[in-house]
Amino acid sequence: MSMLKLDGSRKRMTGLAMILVFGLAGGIGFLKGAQMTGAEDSPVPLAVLLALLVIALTAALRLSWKWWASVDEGVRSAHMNGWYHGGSIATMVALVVALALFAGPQTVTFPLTGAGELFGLGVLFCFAMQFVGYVVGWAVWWARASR
Amino acid sequence: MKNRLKVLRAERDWSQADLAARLEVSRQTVNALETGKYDPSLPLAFKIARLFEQSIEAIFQDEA
Repeated sequence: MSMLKLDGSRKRMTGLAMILVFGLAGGIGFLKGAQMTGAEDSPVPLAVLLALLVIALTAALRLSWKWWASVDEGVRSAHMNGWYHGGSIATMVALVVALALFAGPQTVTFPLTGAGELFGLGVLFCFAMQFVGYVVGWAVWWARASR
Repeated sequence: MKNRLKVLRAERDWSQADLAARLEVSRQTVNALETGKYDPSLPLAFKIARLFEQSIEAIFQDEA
């Protein structure tokens, strides 16, 4: 997999742009989620929650960027394999499981109170599946490379 | 892709950790390179060639 080589200032600008895009996407996702789950009525003001989220996302992205720059290409390749193959396969499995649960006769019931909770459960389920897929894909890469 | 990394390393009596330190990569990456399951990037291939003072083609052989 090829990586673009950027000089110092372009690298910083690209990093800043990525932080802004991810921050904006996170903020929009947060507001949509807040509308669906009823968090708008939470005692903590929505602006404070959003500010905390932006700070957390920016810090996570900055730390990830520094860590990624510090590891060698074998380690990166294993993580990219985990992300691409593991994550993609796990997402497909999650889709099949979701279709099996909701497309057929409703034999499974969830103790949920509204559409927001069902949406939240779906997001959590997809995230959990992708995380498992990521770890499996990462481990498979190292297992194959070490044999 | 096949390579002669293991042989070249053994000739110099280097451990995988020694080679990893010289190439500034992890020992696991050296192991993955030696098994031929992972092909290095061009910059790393050039670094390996410079370290062993050989051409890239003398170290890596395309199996196709």
